[in-house]
Amino acid sequence: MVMQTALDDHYERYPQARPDLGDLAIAAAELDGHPLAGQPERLRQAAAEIAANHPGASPDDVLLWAEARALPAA
Amino acid sequence: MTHLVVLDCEAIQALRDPGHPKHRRVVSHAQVVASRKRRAVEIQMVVPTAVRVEVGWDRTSPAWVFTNRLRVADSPLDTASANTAAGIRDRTGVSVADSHMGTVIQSAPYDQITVVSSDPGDMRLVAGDKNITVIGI
Repeated sequence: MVMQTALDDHYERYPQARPDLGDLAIAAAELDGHPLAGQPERLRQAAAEIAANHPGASPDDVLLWAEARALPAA
Repeated sequence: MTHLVVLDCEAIQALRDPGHPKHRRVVSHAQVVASRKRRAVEIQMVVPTAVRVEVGWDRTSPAWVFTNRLRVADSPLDTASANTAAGIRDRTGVSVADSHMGTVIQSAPYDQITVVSSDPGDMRLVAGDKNITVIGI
């Protein structure tokens, strides 16, 4: 909670430092060593798609969506 | 599942300075860690104290208030880890700070270790046999 408060204060002071959903999805993928970490544009695209319909989507939601989109059609 | 995130010198510098070209990128990593902590995921960011010395991170200085508030824990260079770091430095020729990075990586009892670094090659070198994820910034 303290950490989030520090970040929120920082975003208020430096709005350009606030990551968007695409940034966060890439960061989450990188932290986990996810195979899609090497495809940031795909993650940004997935973030844009999911944010359009689900404004509260999390970075992990974006990763799941990007994974699903990467699967070959059955 | 426990997860350790180790920050190197440039990651710390980027985190501290809103004008740094990689600031938003490293803040993104900190934001993901913060969000996971709120969900009770066992994830921790650490900085080896030799890295702190290298970048001039004095926790008592007002210049480092934001970074201090992010709860990045110190990983100190005690007697045992100094011995390990000396061995890493002797074998690889990397800097003292990177040798301490290697000690933290090699001794960390975590399921997953991620290193945020501007020098992924050196991080893999100092990690030895440890399986790590390296984020090149």
